[in-house]
Order: sequence, then C-alpha cells, then structure tokens
Amino acid sequence: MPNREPLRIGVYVCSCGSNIGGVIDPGAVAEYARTLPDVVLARTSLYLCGDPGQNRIKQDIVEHRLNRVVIAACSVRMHEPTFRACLAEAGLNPFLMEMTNIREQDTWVHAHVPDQALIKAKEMVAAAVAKVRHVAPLAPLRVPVTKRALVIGGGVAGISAALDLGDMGIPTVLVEKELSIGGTMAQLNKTFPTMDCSI
Amino acid sequence: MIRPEQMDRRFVEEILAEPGGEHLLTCWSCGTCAATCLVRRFNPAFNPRLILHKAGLGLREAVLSSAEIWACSACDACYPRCPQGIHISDVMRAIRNLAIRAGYEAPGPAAQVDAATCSGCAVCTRACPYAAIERKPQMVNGQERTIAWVDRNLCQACGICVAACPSGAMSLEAMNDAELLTRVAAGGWLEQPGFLQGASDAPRLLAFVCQWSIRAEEEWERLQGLNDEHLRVVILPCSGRVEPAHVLLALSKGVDGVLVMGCHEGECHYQRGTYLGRGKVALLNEMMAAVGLAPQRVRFAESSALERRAFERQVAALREAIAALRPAEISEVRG
Amino acid sequence: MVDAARHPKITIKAYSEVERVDGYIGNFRAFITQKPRYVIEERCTGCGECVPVCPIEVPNPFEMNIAPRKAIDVPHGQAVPLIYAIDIENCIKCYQCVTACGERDAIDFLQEPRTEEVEVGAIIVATGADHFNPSVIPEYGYGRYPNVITAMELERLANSAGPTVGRLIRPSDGQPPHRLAFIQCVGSRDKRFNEYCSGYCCMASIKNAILLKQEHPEMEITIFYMDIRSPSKGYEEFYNRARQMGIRFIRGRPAQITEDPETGNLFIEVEDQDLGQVLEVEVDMAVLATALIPQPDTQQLATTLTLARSPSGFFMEYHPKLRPIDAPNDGIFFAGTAQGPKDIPASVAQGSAAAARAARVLNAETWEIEPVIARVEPSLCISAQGKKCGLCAAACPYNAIIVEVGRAAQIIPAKCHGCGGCVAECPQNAITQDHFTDAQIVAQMREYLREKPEEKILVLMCHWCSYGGADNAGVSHFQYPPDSRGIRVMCSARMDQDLVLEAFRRGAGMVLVSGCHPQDCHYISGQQVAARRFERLFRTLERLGINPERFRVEWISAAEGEKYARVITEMSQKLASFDKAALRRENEAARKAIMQRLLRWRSLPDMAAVLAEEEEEEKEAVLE
Repeated sequence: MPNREPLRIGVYVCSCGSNIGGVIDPGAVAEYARTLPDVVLARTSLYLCGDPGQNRIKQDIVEHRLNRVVIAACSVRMHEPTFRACLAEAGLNPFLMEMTNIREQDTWVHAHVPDQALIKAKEMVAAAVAKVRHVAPLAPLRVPVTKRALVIGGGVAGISAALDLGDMGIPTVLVEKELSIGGTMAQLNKTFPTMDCSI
Repeated sequence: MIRPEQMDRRFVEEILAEPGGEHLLTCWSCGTCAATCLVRRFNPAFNPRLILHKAGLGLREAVLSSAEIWACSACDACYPRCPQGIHISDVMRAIRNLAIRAGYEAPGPAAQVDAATCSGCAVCTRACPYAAIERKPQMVNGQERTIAWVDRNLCQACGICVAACPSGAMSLEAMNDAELLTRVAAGGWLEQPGFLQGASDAPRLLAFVCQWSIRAEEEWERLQGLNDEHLRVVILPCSGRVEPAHVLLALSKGVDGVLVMGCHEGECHYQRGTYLGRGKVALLNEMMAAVGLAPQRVRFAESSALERRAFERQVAALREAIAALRPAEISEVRG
Repeated sequence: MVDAARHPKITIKAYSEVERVDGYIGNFRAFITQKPRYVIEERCTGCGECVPVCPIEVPNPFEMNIAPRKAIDVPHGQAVPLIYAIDIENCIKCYQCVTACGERDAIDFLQEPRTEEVEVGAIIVATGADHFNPSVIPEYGYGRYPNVITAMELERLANSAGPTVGRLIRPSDGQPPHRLAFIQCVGSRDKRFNEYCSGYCCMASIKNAILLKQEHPEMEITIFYMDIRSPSKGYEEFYNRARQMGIRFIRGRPAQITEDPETGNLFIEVEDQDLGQVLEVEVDMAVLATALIPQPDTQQLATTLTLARSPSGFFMEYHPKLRPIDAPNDGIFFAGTAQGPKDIPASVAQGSAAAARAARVLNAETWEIEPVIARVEPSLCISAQGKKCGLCAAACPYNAIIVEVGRAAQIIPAKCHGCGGCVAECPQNAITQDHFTDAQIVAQMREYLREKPEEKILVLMCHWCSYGGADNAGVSHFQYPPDSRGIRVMCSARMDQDLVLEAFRRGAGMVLVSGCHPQDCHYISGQQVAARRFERLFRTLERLGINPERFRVEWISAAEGEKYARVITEMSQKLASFDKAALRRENEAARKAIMQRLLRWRSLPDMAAVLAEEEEEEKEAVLE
C-alpha cells in the first residue's frame, strides 16, 4: 500500500433540498458516519454541489488534514467530476473520494418507507467509507486529441454541426449513406416558419 | 352546473379496483371509440367517451343511473382502434357491476322465456354469446321445473336464442317471429298479383340484413328506399337471427332468391352470430339441393361498416346468379 | 447543403457508411465504406447526358416512390455531390450510358466498395429518423385507398421541384382536390405503435394547410387533431393565422376512413369532441401526419458505437435534462432526430450544440481520461513462469494485453479501457483494476452484509447500463422495496464468480448480477464474457448446496428504470418467500467450501488488510 499515513476521512451528506432531506434526516446519517472507523468529521449540506458546499469540503481538507472524502449525495453519473475537481483544487488526489448515491438509488425510490431508506443510506455510507479506506491515489491519464470530427448523417442536423465545426477550423468528415446529403429536409416543400425553400 | 360534491373520488377508485376498470383514467377523450361505435349509430345517446369521461370525474349518480351504460354490446370494434389501448367494454362492464351492486337494472329489451313451452333443453344457454341464459328451477303452473332464465343485465337482445330455440319458447320484445313475418310480407308484398303472375322478368329478392353489417344510418334509410316490387329488405339485429323456416316460406311464396347479409367472421357484433347465420344458410343450401332446389338461390354474404355500397353489390350478384339459372329451376317452386 | 460542399474544412463522403469504430475520446478510428456508384466521382461532371439514354425506370425513394428515376440518375437536381450513380440491381447493362458519357469516361462497372480509415477526436451522430408506414392502420385505408396519402408524399406532390411541378393532384384520377383533410397523430401518441408525440407534425400540417390555402383560397381544408402542440416561438401565432385564413380545425381523432368506390372520395368519420357528435366529412383527399420513428439501422450503429437506445428506440442521451447532447460514451454527441423526434429549428439548434460540445474536446491539446485501468503483478503471472495461460488476453475486447510464454502478461495502458474483464478472468490474482480492486469491493460488501444479511439482495451493477438503469428508476421515482444494496463496477465482465460466492459466504439472501444488454455493452464484448461466466455459476451454487434461485442475472439498460425496479421487486418478493433459517443453514453449509475457494485472496496485499480488519473486529467482539 503506498499510502501508510493515518487515515482521516471526511463524510459529507447532502440534503439536496428536499430530494434527500425530505425523506431521511441527513443529520442522522452524518451522526452515524462519525462512529465509523477513521472518520474524523461528518457534515450535512443543503446543496453540496453548490459553492458553499464545495468550499466547505476544500476548507476541511486543509484545516482538518482530510486525506479521504466520502460524498453521500446523487449519482456518480451526475456529480463525480464535480467533486473530483473539488478535491483536486484542495490539493488532494481526486481518486481519494468515493461517492454514494443516496438520492436516485435510495430516497427517490424508497420515499414511502423513510425508516428503511435511512437504514439503507447509513449502510451505503458505511460501504463507501469502507471502500475509501482502501483506495489509492491515481495519476490522471492524459491522452492526445486528434483534431478532426466525424459527423454521421448529412441531414439538417448533421450539416449544421459540420458547418459550425468547419467554421471553428476543425476538419470535419461528413458521412452520408444516401447518394446526396440533405436528408428529410431536402424533400420538404417550403418550411415553417419562414416559408422559404428548404434546400 | 356540476358541483364539487358530485365529483366523487371514491367512485373513481371503485371503478379502478373493479376488474376491467383499471385503465379508466388513461382515456384522453379523443373520440375514436365514439365514432367507431356501432351501437351509437342506432342509439345516438350512447357515447362511450362521455361515459368514461364522466366516470373519470367521479360523477357517480349521473353514470350509474344512465341507461347508456347498458347499451355497450361488447362488440369490441373500438378496442383495437383505441390509441391508449383501453378495453372499453371491460370498463363498461366494471361500471355496470357497480351499478348492479347499487341496485340498478338494465332497461332492456331482453329475451323472454315462455315458461309453459320451454322444455329446459339448454340449446339457448349454449347459443347465447353473453352467457346471459342459465337453467334454473322455477315454479310453472304450481310445479317446479328447471327451465331457461334470462339475466336482463347481461342480455343484449341479439335474438340468437330466439332463432335457436326448438320449442319456440324464446321471444324478443322487439323482434318476435310474428313481427318478422309481418315485415317480410308488409304491404302484401308476397301476394302482389303482378309478382306471382310473372308480369315482370326481373327476379324478386328478399334480403335479411344484419343491422351492424351495413354502414351508417343514412345508408340504412337508402336501403329501405330500395324496397319495391322486386326487392324487400328486412333488417335483423343479427344474421344469427335468421330462421330457415322463414326463408323456405318466402321461397314457397314465389321469391326467386334470398340474401342473408351479416358481418365478417370475427367482426360479429354478437361474437358468434355470423358463424350461426352462415351455418344455417349452408345447411339450408344442402337441404335445397337434396330436394331439387337450386342452392344458388339462397346465399350468405359478409360485409362490414367499412365497406360502402356492399349491399348493392351483393344484390346485383344475386340477381345475376338467378338470371343465369334455367327458368325450369325457378319454376319448380313457383308451380 | 451547398455551403457544406464548398466548405474547405468539410469533406463529404456520400453513399458511405460507418462500418466500425475503434478507440476512445480524442482517439477514434472510424472505418468508412463507400458503396460503389459505378460512376467515377472525379470524372463525372454532373451533365446528366447519361439519363435520357437509360431505358430503365425505377421508383425514386427521394420522391417517396411516387415518381420514377432512371437506373442511372441523381436523386434530385440539387443533389450534393452532383454525381450520378447506377442502380446496379435494376441496370440491364445495355451500356447506353457509357456511350453517352463518351470521352468523359466516368462510368466504371467494376467499382467495388472502398473502405477507408479515418482518425477523429469526436463523433457526432446525426442519422435522422424514418417515417411511420401507416398501412398497418386498417381503418385509415392507406395503401388501399389511393387518395389517402402521407404528409411526406404531400411534400413531394406540392413541391415545385417535385414530380407534379407543384400542382397538387390526387392519385386516383389526377384531378386537383377541392376538399382536403389532414389527420394528426398517425402512429404517434398511439400505444399500438409509438406512445410518444412526434412533435413536429402539428406545425408541419398547419404549414402545408396555409401554403395550399394561399395558393387555392377556395380549397376546403380541415385538420383533425387531438391537441395542437405549438409551444415554441412564433408557433402559436402561426396556428392563429391558419384559423384566420379559414382552415377548419376539428378536435377529434378520426375513427375510420371509407371510400366511395365510384368517386374515389373519402368519408372521414370522427367524433367532434366539442359537439359530442359524430360527423361524417366527405373529402377528396386525406393526408396522414405520420410519426417519426427510429431509422431501421439504429441498432446497427448503436452496436458499432456501443450506444444505448431509449424505450422509444431513438438513441439514449447521457442525461435527459443536464446532458441532452452527449452520448453516455465520452466523445460522442447527438444531433437531430436520431436522438428523438423534433422539428427543423430544434434539429439545427442541436446540430450547433453538438458542434460546440465536440469542439470542447477537439480544441483541447489533450484530454483527461479516467486512469481506471488494469495492472499485472508480474510475480504472480504464470505466463512468467513459463506456463501457457492467456485467459486475460482472450477476455480483452481491445487487444490491450500481450501474452508471451516466459514473460508476464503486459497491459498497454493507452489501449486499456478499464473494463476489468481480465481481472476477473485471471486465475492467479495477478491482475488488479485500479479503483475497483477485489479488496475494495469486498470491503463494501462486508458493510452491506453486516446486519441481517439474509434479508438483503446484493446487487453487482455495471456502471454504464445497470447503474444507469437504477438511476433511471430514481429519476422516474419508480418505487421498489428497500432491501437491495448495490456495488458499482465498470463492466459486468469485472464481476468475478468469487464475488458472488463471497456474498453468500457473508450470508446474503440473494445476489443479482446485472450488466448491459449484449448490443449495448460499453466494452464491446464484456457482457458476453460475463454472461458465459455466470451461466456456469448456477451449477456451482447447486453443488455448494445454495438454492440457485437465490442468484439472478439480468441485463438492464440505462433506459430501463422500469425493469430495474421490477427485477428488484420480484427478487424481494421471492426473498420474502424463503425461510430465513433455511437460508442461514444453506450459507453455513456452503461456507467452508467457499472459504477454501477464496483462500487465493489471502495472497492479495490489500485484501489481507481487509480480512485482518475483520479478525480485529472479531477479537473486539469477544473481548466485549
């Protein structure tokens, strides 16, 4: 294990307005989190993704020397990049963070059984803490970018995209499966609302 | 004005809880069912869309007390067209079940059993497409006998049982045998002198037409207008209502050809009427052949509400078929 | 169109299809196949002298097949590129065109499909939509009654560049119609076919009605509709204009069209909702506003690019509200009706939006990607010990692993996409995946199964589809029982059989393994690797004395929130039917055999740490 310094985990429980807070008490989740191993602080926030929420995390990382962060909020598909960037700004490797989704996969789907939703949220936080205790910092991978675009489909949407890309100076390949570009739009009689011809 | 207290949320929930009523609220009132509905052609007060809409608003009394909720004959012409996939006849049945529980009864007409002549043979219970007839012990002339009993709430007055009953015990308030024969012979049509004496060469035709197999009201009226000394149209509730005895009677009175027109198989308004009507004509054709009558003279044809001028086409076809027969084949019966 | 053709930065590859795409954001390799035109592009001048000599006429799909084209032709006069092509299936090879072409010598019957490889940094999918074929609605009689036509057929019949030079005639007798009906929502807003609203058709019909009314003020035009949807800028005003012009609007969905066989006239039966009465409206011609539907080859492209499809069949975006332009896969973006039905202004706007999203990547020198890749511990790889193995390479969809006997397997970081399939395949514990190590997964599992494990369903879910499906259930607020606990990994291929066994060892009531549908798999073939692996597990469970009904494998896409909720609900019901004491007995009986099998984990350094923690805990429990 590369990281042998004592673990100092910060747990953040988002209320997401009433999306989470309207079903379970984020405070109860935070209180439970404080009992978990290596957790040095646990806080709630009305909107963790907002500036005040993120600033709090950054400040804590510095002031409390946090080296691991657990975010109990929404989907990783939504805000994992947000919080990874937040850690990076505070000087912490972004991969020392684990997010657990107590909104889409808990309060939104168990709204009628808040007691059970609370138990689930606590266990989700416990699992995230357990994982984050074993994560290692990772160096982000940077890949080169080929400055060329491929647009598949030469209808009005594809042409519009290709023209914009071209005007930005980006070489663009426009692939059309039919003999001519134009798509459905080319077949239309005058088009709404300007009533001019469509080609 | 409809007042808030008339809109009873519990009524909606009761319908939703009733089997078949689950999809009540997905109706968005597009009117496809109303414009498809065949019942509505004869009973303009019946509008399935409006019933569903009123039920969705929770108008309990207005819905349960209306005569229209009993009018749906579950032909399901609307179901395959409904863009929301609502099985409307199921919703109607759910509403009726609530009405029956609330003490309402169907207004009829319904088939009637003559207790004295019913033998309890159960032919009618098997023929009924609505399972509206059962055998029940009843007191007849101080004696307990198991005979047919019609559930007024289920009967759709199609007349199939009337045609099926071997003892003549079933009758329909609206269309009993006597009335039917009166219509066939109305205005002394069968007895017209010119007709029997062959004053005209044109074949004389009698047509029994199922009321659902022709298009709309005005086409109906047009059909009536076609009645002349060469053609007589009798509208029936269903082609299954046709009785071979009536057809034979007409032939014996000098009619050249008989057309029975019903719905397409699978589209019968009463589910099995076309099957029964066509079967009867087929049997009759065999019997005719056996006794030396040209079977071409009686034919069964199918049509639907989607076809325009189908009736005229069928009449023309029958005329042609009869014209093709040798005069001897026709005179056999006339003579 | 012409702008695109003239643009120095744009290369148009018409009559071409994308066959295969490899790579990842910033570094895609696309294989584009150009179908043979049998006309040499560089030599064809677009003069069209080949057309009059061609004796063969075929239906022209550009004209909705209502007008012919020649076997050598262009779809229409303004075609871009203006290069002729031979319809080889209908060509009789009379070679008249070769003669007509003469010195230009542009015709080449030996042309073959040509495949070209193009490196690109981003991809925009703008493949458009198809039109619903209304002949499946018998009550409207399309295909049976000649005077019932589709909106697209009207576009051609009323188009001055169309086959009638803009003179609207009806197909049955070539006469101009005086009474015209538009029927809205044909194939849309209809659960029999497509539940969604196609969105564009209200305004399209109103547009056509206005154009016709302007040209023929005496024409009686009726639009039958359920709702007029005119929510965008200027649309409602346009609708008002149509009403002012005397176009008749009847609220009601026509139940049927019948035809008078003598006149060819149509009778539309409809309940006028506002009157509550059924009308019969006689018209000369009826135009069906048909739904937009997904292109027939949507699935093919979805498989090529590993994209998911929404329940409606169109391409599924990353997030319906917050990232509506992005595909779930980095570096791929959507524009136009490929993503869902929409009208022209929205398609143009989405084209620009997709260009902007793509330019974000393309204007960057480098792009940061997740360093979640697999690593080999050379000392553990048996290939290094001179033995033959190569299971990891066989499972890798990207050919990112090089296996040579005598050397430890080597993973090329730039090629590794981080699915984790090799990790689960390796029998030697020699491969780990950063951020999704066995130890991390087991640590999560331990917490989930600490309390009342037999009352829980442990779910292993893949990031791209099933986690997305669970999110979709959340976004849709589909309620399901709260007894499931999910662990996310990148791909179902990462899910080791041993992880399922470990869950049972820890007392789980049931286990669900869920990944993408085979065609949606983000890692090409990861799902197939997982499917094969878990098919074998049922028998193993039986051998261990664990009721195989306690284990389930489901493929759930990111669009299938309803399915995710349903699967968990079903499993929860099944779990409730099991006797918990019996479950505990089963787990206890299997425990020893599973522990034997999992001994291998002790050799993993961080797993040893996880297991050591447990021993600590047990000690503490004893002390207390």
